[in-house]
Amino acid sequence: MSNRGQAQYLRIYNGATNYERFQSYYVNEAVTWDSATWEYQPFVVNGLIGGTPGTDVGITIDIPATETLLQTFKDALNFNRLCEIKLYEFDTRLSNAAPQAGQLLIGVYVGEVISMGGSFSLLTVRLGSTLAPVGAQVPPRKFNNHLVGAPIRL
Amino acid sequence: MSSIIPVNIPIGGPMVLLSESDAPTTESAAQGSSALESRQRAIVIGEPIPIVFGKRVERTTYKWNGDVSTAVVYDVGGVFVSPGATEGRFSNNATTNELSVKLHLVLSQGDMPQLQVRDVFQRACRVGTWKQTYDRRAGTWTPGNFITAVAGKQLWDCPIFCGTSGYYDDLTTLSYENTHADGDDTWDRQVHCFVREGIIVDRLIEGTAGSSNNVCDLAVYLIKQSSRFPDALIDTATFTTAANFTETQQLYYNGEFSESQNLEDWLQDISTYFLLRVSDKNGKKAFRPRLPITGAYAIDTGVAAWEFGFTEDHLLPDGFEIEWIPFADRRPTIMQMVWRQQPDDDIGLIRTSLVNIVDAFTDQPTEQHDLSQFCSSELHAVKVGAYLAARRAFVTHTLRIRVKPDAYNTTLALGDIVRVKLRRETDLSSVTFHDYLYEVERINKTLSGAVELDLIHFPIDASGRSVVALYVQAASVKGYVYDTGRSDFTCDIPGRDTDDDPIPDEGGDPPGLPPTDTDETPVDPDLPTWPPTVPDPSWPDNTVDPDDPNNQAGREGQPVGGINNPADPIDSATDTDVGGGGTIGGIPGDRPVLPGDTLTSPTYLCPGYKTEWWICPPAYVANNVGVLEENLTGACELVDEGSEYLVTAAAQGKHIVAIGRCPDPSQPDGFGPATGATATDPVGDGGESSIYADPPSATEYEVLTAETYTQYRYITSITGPVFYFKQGSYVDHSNPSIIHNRQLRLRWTEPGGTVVDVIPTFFWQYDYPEDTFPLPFVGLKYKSSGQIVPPIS
Repeated sequence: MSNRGQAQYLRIYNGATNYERFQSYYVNEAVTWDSATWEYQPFVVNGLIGGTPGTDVGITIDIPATETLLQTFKDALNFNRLCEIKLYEFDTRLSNAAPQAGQLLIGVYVGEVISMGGSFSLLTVRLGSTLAPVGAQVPPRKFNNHLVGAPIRL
Repeated sequence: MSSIIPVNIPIGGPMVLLSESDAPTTESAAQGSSALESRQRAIVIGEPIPIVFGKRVERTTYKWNGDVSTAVVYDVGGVFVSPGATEGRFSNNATTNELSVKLHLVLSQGDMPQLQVRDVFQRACRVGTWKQTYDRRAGTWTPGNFITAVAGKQLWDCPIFCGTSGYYDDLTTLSYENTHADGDDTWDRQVHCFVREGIIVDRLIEGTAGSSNNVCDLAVYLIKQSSRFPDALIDTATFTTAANFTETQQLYYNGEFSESQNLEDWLQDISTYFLLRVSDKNGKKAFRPRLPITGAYAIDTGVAAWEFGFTEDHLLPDGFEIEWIPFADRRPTIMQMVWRQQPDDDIGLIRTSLVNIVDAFTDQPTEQHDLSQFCSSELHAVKVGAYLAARRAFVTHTLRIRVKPDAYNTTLALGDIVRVKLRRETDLSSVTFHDYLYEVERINKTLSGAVELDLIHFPIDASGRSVVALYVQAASVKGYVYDTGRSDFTCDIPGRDTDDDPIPDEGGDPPGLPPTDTDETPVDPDLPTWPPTVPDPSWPDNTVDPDDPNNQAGREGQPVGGINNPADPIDSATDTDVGGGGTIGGIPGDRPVLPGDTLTSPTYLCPGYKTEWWICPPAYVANNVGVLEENLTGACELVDEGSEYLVTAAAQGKHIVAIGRCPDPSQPDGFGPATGATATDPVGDGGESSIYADPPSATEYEVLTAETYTQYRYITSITGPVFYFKQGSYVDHSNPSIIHNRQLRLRWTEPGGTVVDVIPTFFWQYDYPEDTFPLPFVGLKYKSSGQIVPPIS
C-alpha cells in the first residue's frame, strides 16, 4: 500500500494580487498553507508538464462550471491573470487531515489561461504561454504614418 | 463457443517530435550579404521596423595550425546595416548644377550609442555629413524637390514625392547630406552604416542597460516587446545561466532583426545556433544550454554524472517506448557553416567553414547552415558546426519511460542527465542490460503519481564523457582572414577610415506635424470599455460556491426579456392538449341534470377532437379534482362519444364527465390522451333515503324533488331539523310555463330555538305512465351558492 499522497494547489494571481486559492485534496475543507487559506474546489489537473515547445507542454485543469468558478476563470482569461499549480507530496501516515509542515513541493507550473471550453457543467481550462505558434510577432513594431509621415518614394 | 479477445492498440505519443534533426529545409544565398551598389531603399508603410542588435568586442581564441594552437586576440561583432529613407531633399546649384542630396533614414527601433564617422557609408565610400538622434527626426532640413533647370546641363531626375515627416517615437534616426557634381550618377545609391554598438537593452549578466551581443538579452527583449507575455513567465535565472554560457563560449549575436516572423519559431531556430534550446520549465520560458556545463559556464567534458538512475523497479507496465534514429539521419555530414567576417574598418564579407566529425570533406553529404545574419566569428560557426555534426552522428535514439514516483520527484529537472538501466534476460546463461545515459527533454507528472519522461540519448565515450561536448570543446578556428577584395580606396573622404569620433546628435520634430493622435481612431466613450471594469468575485469564507448572480454586476451584459421563438410548424410536438375544460352545454340553470336531458360537448382548441362522455360516482369526482381525466377508468364508465349525450337513468346520482381527446396519429385509436375534463353536478335521482348533514346556522336550502302533478311527496325529518311541506309550486308537465301554487317549505330549528323556514323550489319531472322513472327526491341545494348539497350517503 502506498503511503504517498499528492495534493494540488491552484492560485490565480497577477503578480500583485492573489485572486483565488484553491486546493482539491482536503474535501469540503478550507485549509491553511503557506500563510494563506486555500478553499476546496474539486478541480483536476491532468499533469505537470515541462519540456521544449512542441513537446506538448502546458496543462489542463478540469473544473465544475459553477457560476463563480466560471466567472473567476473568465476574468483570468480576460485580464491575462496567471495560474499557478503546485503539487505537494507527503506521507499520508503522518496526517491526512491538514497540510503537513514538511510536505515536499515536487512540481510547479505557472501559466496563463490561454483557452477554456467544455460542457455546460464541466470546464476544461488550458494553461500555457500566449506566444502563439502562428502569426508574425517580431519585430514587434511596424512603420506607420504617425512615425514617419508619408515616406519618400524613390 | 467463441470468445472475444480484447486487443489493446497503444497510441503513440509525440516521440517523433523529439527527432534530433536540425537540418534546414531550404538552403539559399547568405542572408547576411548586402548589396553595396544598389539604389537607395525607401521605407514602406507597414514594413517591420528593424532592430539592430550587437556589440563589437575584443576576445581571445585559439588558432589551429597543424598540431599547434596559438592564442589570437580578435575583434568580433558589429552589424552592417542598409537603412531605408523616409524623407529626402533635392536641390541644385543654379550655375554649376551641383546636386545637394539630403536623406532622412531610420536605423533601428530603440536607442543606441552614436555611430562613428568611420562607420557610415554611401555605396562603399565614407562620404557625406551625418547626424544621428533618437526619438525624433534627425537633422533640421525640410524635405522637398527644389531642382531647377540649368542651361546647358542635364536636368536632375530626382524624386518628386519627397516624404513628409513624423514623430519617430523610440526610433534611432539618421540624417545624411552630400553633394554630387554635375552628371554624377551615384547620388541615388544606398547608404550603409556599420553599427558597433546596437540598441540599448536590459542585460542579464551585467544587470544594467546597454548594448549587448548576447542572444539571451535579445530574446528577453523581444519577448517583452511582443507584449504577449507577462514578465512572470520569463525564467530570468535560467536565461542568465544561458547568457553566461554563450558569453563564455563566445557565441554572439550581431545582426539586424528585420524579417517579420513568429517569435516562437524564431526562438526555436536561433537557439540551436547558440547551442541553446528553448525550455518551458514550470511554465516559464527560457533558454538553457544544450551541453553539460560547469559552474563557470564552460562545457563540461568530465565524466558525465547522472541525477537519478532508473531500473526495472521504477518502470511501470508498458512504460518503455524507444525510437531509434535511422542511419540515413545519422551518417556523418559536412556542415557548411556560413558566417560573416567582419573587419574592423570595412564592410564585412560572407565566409564559410566546413565542419565534419570525420576527416573527410569530399564525397560526403553536405548541409548548409546560414548564420551570416548574426554570426560574425569563425569560432562561433565551427562550434555550432561541431555540435550539429557530432549530435547527428552519435545520438542514436530517444526513449519514453513511465515510472513510479520516487525520490527524484523533488530533484529531477529538465536538462538533467539520468541513467536508465534495465535488465534484459533472454538467455539463461547471460544477462544483458539496456544501459544508457539520457538527457531529460520532457517531464509529465500525472495526477496518479506516475511520471512520464521523454529522454534523448546522451552519448558518452568509454571514459563516460559526453561525446558531443568533447567535439564542441575541441572545435577551433583556422583563423584565416580573407582579404575583402576591395581595390579602390579613393572614394573615402581622406581620414574618414580612422575617424572614430561620434557623429553629431542633432535633430528635432519639424513644425507642422499632424496631431499626435491623427492615426488613432477615437472610441465612442459611450461604448462598453474593454476589459470591463468588474468587481473581483468575492469568495466566501466557507467552501460553498454561492453562485450569487449579484456578484456578476458590471460584467458583460445579458439580453433583455424572455425567449419567444416562432413555432416550428413541422417539427413541433403533436398538440395533445385540448386547451382547457370548457363548458358542457345543455345543463338546466334551475335544476340538476336529469335523465332525458341532452348535453352538448364543450368546445376544444385542437381541430378534429373527440368528446367522450363518462359517468362517475360523486365521491370519486370529489377525490380526483384536477386529475380527473387521468383516473377515468375503473370507477367511471364510458357511456358515449360525440358532440351530444342524451342523459339516461344510468347516470342518476352520478356526475357526467366530458373529456376531450385531440387527434394523434401515433396512437392506436388515432387520439391522444384525455384532457380537459369537465363534470356536471350529480344527475337527479330518488333521494328519500339520502341523509344530509345538519345544516349549519343561517343556511338556506332549496329542496329539490321530482313530483308528479298528482301528488306531493313529503320529506321526512332526517336528523334534527324538521322538514315539512307547507305549500309548494310545481310545473305542469303538459305546460311547463304554468306554475302551480303548491309551495313546499323546509323548516328547522336553530340552536337557541329560532325556527327557520325556507321556501324551497320544486322540480319535477314529466312522468309517463309507462315510464319506469321513480318519483325522485332530487336533493338539497344551497340557496346562496346554488351548489348541490352532497348527501352523506
